[in-house]
Amino acid sequence: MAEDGTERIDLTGWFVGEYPRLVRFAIVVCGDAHLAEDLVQEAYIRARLAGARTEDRIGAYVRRIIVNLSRSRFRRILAERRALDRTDPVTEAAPVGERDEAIWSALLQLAPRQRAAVALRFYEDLSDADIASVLGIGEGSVRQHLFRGMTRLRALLGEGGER
Amino acid sequence: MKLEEELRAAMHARLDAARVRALDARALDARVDHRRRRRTRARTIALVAATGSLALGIGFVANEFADAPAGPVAPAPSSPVDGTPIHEPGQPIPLDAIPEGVSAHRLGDLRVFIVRDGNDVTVFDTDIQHQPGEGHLWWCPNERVFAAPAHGELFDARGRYLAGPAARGLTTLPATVRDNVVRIDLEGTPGASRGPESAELPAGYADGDRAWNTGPGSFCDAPLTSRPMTFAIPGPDDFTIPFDAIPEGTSLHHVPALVEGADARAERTPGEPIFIVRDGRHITVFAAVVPDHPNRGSLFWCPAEGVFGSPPDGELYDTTGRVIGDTANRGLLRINSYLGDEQLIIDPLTRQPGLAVRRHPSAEPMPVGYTGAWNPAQETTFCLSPLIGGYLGASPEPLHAPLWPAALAIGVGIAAFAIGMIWLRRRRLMVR
Repeated sequence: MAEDGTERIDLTGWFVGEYPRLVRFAIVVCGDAHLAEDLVQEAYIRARLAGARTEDRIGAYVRRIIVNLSRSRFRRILAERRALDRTDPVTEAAPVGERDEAIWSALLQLAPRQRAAVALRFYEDLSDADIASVLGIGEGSVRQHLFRGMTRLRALLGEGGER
Repeated sequence: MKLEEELRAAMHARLDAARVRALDARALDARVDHRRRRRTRARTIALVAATGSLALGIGFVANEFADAPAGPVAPAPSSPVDGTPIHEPGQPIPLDAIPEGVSAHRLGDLRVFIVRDGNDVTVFDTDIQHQPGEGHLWWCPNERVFAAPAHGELFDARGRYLAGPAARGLTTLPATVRDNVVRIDLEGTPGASRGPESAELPAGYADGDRAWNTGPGSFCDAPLTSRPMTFAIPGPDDFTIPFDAIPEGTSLHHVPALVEGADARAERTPGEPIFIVRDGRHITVFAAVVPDHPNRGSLFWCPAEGVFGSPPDGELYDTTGRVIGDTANRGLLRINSYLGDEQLIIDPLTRQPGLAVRRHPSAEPMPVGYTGAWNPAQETTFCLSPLIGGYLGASPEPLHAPLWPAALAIGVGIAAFAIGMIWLRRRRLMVR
């Protein structure tokens, strides 16, 4: 038992099991597979240093570390990444078969919080309340990030106005 | 297909196909341990630095407030007082500042005796070269010898070995006199090696272990001591009193002082009475206690008779602190003092025991009416208007230390703590 009476979990075991899911979430957040692994490993180190957590909170806690890391320490690397993306913009009319690639490229052009909210909703299938818990913001802000993210995606994909 | 569904499908298609290597938890655990050690070390350093600085600052402030009213910072003493002029090393000394005969001086942290005969000046180091730092040399004017009381070393007026365990004669510091200015070379010349003991030693000089200052009957009747002169500049526990506030003659003052307790630890007393005897610029400070009964207190000053006395057993002392009664075994306890810039600096921690000599047979007769034990409340007592217990004259004030070191120390402490905590929080990523 932890000092506050909550049940301690095997953090290492939990991380080994969740590692693929966390890396995939981090790929959406930062847009780079190698960087995503670094992000998750850094999140693991920080979670270990911060102490034990209960299992129902550890998932949100670690994802929030990943989002925050991508917005702070990895900001410079991400800026370089976005600069590279701008040199190869998404074409207005995506050819058949390449639709997924176009959507993915558009996704990577969203603001970090919008991208994180979209990933948590459509890849992790979380509710507004759960997304708010991960991002440390209110549910209203979550809905706003999702709305603006989808609007921007539609604009990038040439589907303006619809929702 | 709606964009939401397309988005969900695109993300799964992309991410589910992504190859993710297994997590190497052992390698990451090593990094966790490394960071944990580094964080602990940084936290320890920050806390030690912050705590130390805070304690330093608080100590400054506490000391300042405990010592109560702040006075001016005392300059380094420069004027002669009580036969112990103080000089900086290398500083030319006016010949007029050195009295004829033998006088005790301080050259920086060096204690010396200067023997002046007109324009001839001889300077002796007080190191007796028996035990380093013992430096406890007395000049016995009646017997005309230098003597170290602890082990009985004796030297004649020219510093030559006479008796005792000293290895050689006194070290001489070369001195030149030109235009009434004395310049002293601090590189001394060691005295000649000891020869045979002198056949004619002073009468009363004890044989055996040669220690002779521990009881009545010492041969050295009126010594001039090289002690106590242990401060080149005022110490932090010193007190000052404006020179003009000290009346001529004998006056009673109170000094809140740190005194050595029974268990040899310094302790603060609420207010210790002291007697200051002033004769022009010649000042002597006595603790107002009876040396034979230090816990009994109540030393009186009898102004009409010009003596110090204690009623219960009738101890009497003259204004130099020497025993003149029949019942005292040791002279009054002196408190070291010296003159600063128009102020007397009192060092309450450095005290000089009175000479362990009883009344000399040829001393002045006892005051009229003296009957041994005496009660000052009786009309027949010899001490008609004793001075004791009340406050007279200015109270010495503690030396004032500036507050800015305390403020600086506290500021550094808080800054170190804050920087340390901010740094630590940044290192471990506080979730926002």
